[in-house]
Amino acid sequence: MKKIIPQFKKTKSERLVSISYLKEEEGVFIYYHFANKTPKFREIKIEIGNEKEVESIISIHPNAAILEGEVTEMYGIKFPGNPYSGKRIFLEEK
Amino acid sequence: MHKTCLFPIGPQHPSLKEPLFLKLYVEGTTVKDAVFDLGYAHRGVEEKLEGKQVDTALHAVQRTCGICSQCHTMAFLRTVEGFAGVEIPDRVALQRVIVAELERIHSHMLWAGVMMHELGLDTLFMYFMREREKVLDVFDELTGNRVHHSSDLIGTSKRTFSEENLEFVLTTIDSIKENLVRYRKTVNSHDVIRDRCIGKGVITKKDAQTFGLVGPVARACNINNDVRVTSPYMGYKMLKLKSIMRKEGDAQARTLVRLDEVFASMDLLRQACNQIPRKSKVPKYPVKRIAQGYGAGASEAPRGENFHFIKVVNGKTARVKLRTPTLANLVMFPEAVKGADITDVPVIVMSLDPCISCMERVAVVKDGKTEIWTSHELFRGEKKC
Repeated sequence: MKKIIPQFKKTKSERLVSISYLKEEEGVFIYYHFANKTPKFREIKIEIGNEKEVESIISIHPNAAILEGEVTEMYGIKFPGNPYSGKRIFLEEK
Repeated sequence: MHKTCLFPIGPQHPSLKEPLFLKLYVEGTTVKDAVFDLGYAHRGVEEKLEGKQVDTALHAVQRTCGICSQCHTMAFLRTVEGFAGVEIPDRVALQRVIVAELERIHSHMLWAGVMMHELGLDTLFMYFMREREKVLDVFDELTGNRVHHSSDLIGTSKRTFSEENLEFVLTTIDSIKENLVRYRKTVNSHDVIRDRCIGKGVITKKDAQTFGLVGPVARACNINNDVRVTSPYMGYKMLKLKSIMRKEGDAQARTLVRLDEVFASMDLLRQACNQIPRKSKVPKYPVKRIAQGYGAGASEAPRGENFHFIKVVNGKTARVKLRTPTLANLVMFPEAVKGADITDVPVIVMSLDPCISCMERVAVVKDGKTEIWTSHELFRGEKKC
């Protein structure tokens, strides 16, 4: 499992806006976007490589629950500890 | 001692305007837990946006939602024009704001009408819808489209609003305002509305902060995250705006925030119409090709912050991620109805103003097969079988 929590400790005062999965030529990334008092969004880009499990950040940002759940549903990346990880949100059950 | 049982509402139900399945776990008439089942309005917008030229993607992105079409356009253009370094003239910036603020008025009036219907006040529903119809006529006059306005291109707009157009905007909002003042007074003083809204579906400021709520739902909890104020964009940089805030955090506060925002939007429209440079015209040719770049941007939709993350590679969109305001507020839905009486659930859910078609925009690949849509099919919005 990809450990990412230490990189997010300083984001506690910011608002998590979005989590986006993106497969690029350089590798597979998850983008976390945060809003703070500045007009621009701050992004944290995590390279996950071939990892299929990434540490959940709901302990720092509870609203990550649905955003991570969406990544799980669409791209199969699991976030252990997230109640929505593995649950269906949008798509039909197989 | 009551036994907990499942009480289903939806996916098709007279109290819901869009398909949503509410699974309420009730003891007697008290809601103990709630689960929201989605996926009934799913169209796979994000997937259809991949691999498109940027100007083609713009056509699709503004059809994500029928209520806040312009706000998707603005978030998309703000992001793309931002990383491509495209400057827009003041006229274009203000024209976009005019359409966006008209959209906010029509969205809030549609919501107010439906909310009154949920409360059993169908006369008010008809009054609100009658006024909203006038706004749709303005859209027709300005853009030629009543619902999906499709009035903007990269770096420009499709047409220059004439003096008569701007006059029509101003006379229409004056006529709406006259009636809306009376409706707002009724909403704030009517016993039925007060009894069914005050103290119902309370969200605390702390919860709103913790769960990152957006839009009027957050502003009814005294949190100002209005993108137009915190991060002004396009024509909003030239206008004076004060966010409408309340402290109560209940269904009544959310109702009044939205109604007061209609008056604020009218004020913005007046400012925009007066400041628009009269002698200028919109640029004749849009920016056709954007080779590459990536960025994130947001616009303030009627329901709150509408976030777009876009990556363009070799002139085509590699990824367009849309985080709509309803998705940001969704995490709070079960919490808002917990402990409520079952009869209050439709009112509480409606006070959160969910836009299901906006929210259910994620990618879908059925049975491992990817659907390929041609540009022509995308423009027409249908696929040949």
